[in-house]
Amino acid sequence: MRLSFVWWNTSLSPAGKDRATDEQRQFVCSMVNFMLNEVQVDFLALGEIAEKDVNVIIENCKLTGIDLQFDFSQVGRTKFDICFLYRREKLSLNGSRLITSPKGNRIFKIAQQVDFIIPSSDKPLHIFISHWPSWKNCNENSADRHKLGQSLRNAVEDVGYEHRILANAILLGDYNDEPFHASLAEHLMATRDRVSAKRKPYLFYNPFWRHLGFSKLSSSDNMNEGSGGSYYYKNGEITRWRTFDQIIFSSAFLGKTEWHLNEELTGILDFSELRQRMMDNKEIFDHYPVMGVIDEVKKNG
Amino acid sequence: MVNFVEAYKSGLNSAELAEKRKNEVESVFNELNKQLADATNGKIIISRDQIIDRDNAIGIMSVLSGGKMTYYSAIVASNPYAKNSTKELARWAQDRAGYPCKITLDSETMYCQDKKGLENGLAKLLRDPVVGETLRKLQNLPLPEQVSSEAAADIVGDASDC
Repeated sequence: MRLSFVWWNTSLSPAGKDRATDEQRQFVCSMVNFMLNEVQVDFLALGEIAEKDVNVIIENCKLTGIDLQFDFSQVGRTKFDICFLYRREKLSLNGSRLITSPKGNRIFKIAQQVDFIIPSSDKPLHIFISHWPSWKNCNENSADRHKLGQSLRNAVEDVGYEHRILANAILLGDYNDEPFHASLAEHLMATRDRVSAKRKPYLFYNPFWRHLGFSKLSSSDNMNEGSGGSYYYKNGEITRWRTFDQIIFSSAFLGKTEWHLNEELTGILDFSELRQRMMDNKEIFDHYPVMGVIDEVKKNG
Repeated sequence: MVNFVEAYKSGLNSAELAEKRKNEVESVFNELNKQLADATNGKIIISRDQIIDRDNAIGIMSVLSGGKMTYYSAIVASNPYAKNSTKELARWAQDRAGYPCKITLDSETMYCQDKKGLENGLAKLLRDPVVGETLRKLQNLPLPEQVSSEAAADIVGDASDC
């Protein structure tokens, strides 16, 4: 069996603020339809979503066998703006909670924790969906960003260890930090080094280290450069591309259990119509979806 | 050779800082109680205590065969005018270094990173509708001679260092 997970920051309603046109909402619906019904994604988390967007998705998307959940709670000056859809047949919802971190006068949104049971194997699966503050709201070099990583790590550790291996946890979202930033690489401990992650089960493996540059190699006849990250900011001074959207796996998925990361199918979903809109100054879209896949590998005997 | 003196001094500094932070946390709860005492005529006291883990059926079973009961730390509220009135509001945990302090409600976990963060976390706890209902009932409990034998949480002692 295979399970696929997608995160997409839709850009429709940042922190719940309504700013999208009907046409833009319809475009998001077409993307959601495509991912759920053509790609057959099993878990889809959407960011920058508000109740109005959810209603449009429910009215316009084919959601047979799919459940949709959201919790748009107010957190200090901001709101949670995430919803998630999942295939009932393959994932059984066991609970959901918000993880926050009050510091000084601010309350940081750390993640929405979603607990599933995988019915086919009766195994728990914990998903942490994050949308961390932008650099504008929390500077790239602020120590507060370190606390974001520490708090997320605390939350995953609170789920517990099984045979000294960190629980089956998949962390996904828009971290507004790249894989090399200290929040993720040092404080969360999400490494690029798969071998170390196998040896040291307290580490996470972040496959998005390999998605920091252009997806296609440079050549003289290159007409299409591909994507240079998951997020496009046209006014970026040094780079217009950032890999802010990532899916990070606990080491349980690196050969410690029957569920294995399928890295070949894990990466940035570079949809051409979305790309055109991301390059269009008049549009609101600036993130690609990212996908992570795990496969069930039956042990011999 | 390892510099043990440096390690020893570093440990002393860490202990001093942790002590300072724990006193700071204590002061936040003192201020909370001072304000609540004014607002409720002294009918609500918030504290941190150890509660028997009733969900841990194995733990309870093991007590019958001579084992030890398991406990967890919680933020609790009580009405000092009523006997056995203690009610759990949220689960509580505190890092050995003082912060973060973890407050766990039904639908949210808060990792409070400093004094102001803890104040905001506790304010959020008080705004929770389930907590509000618990506090309202506590405040309206009848006077001691009228107190019914309502079941109370099992408290065994202060848990401020958990």
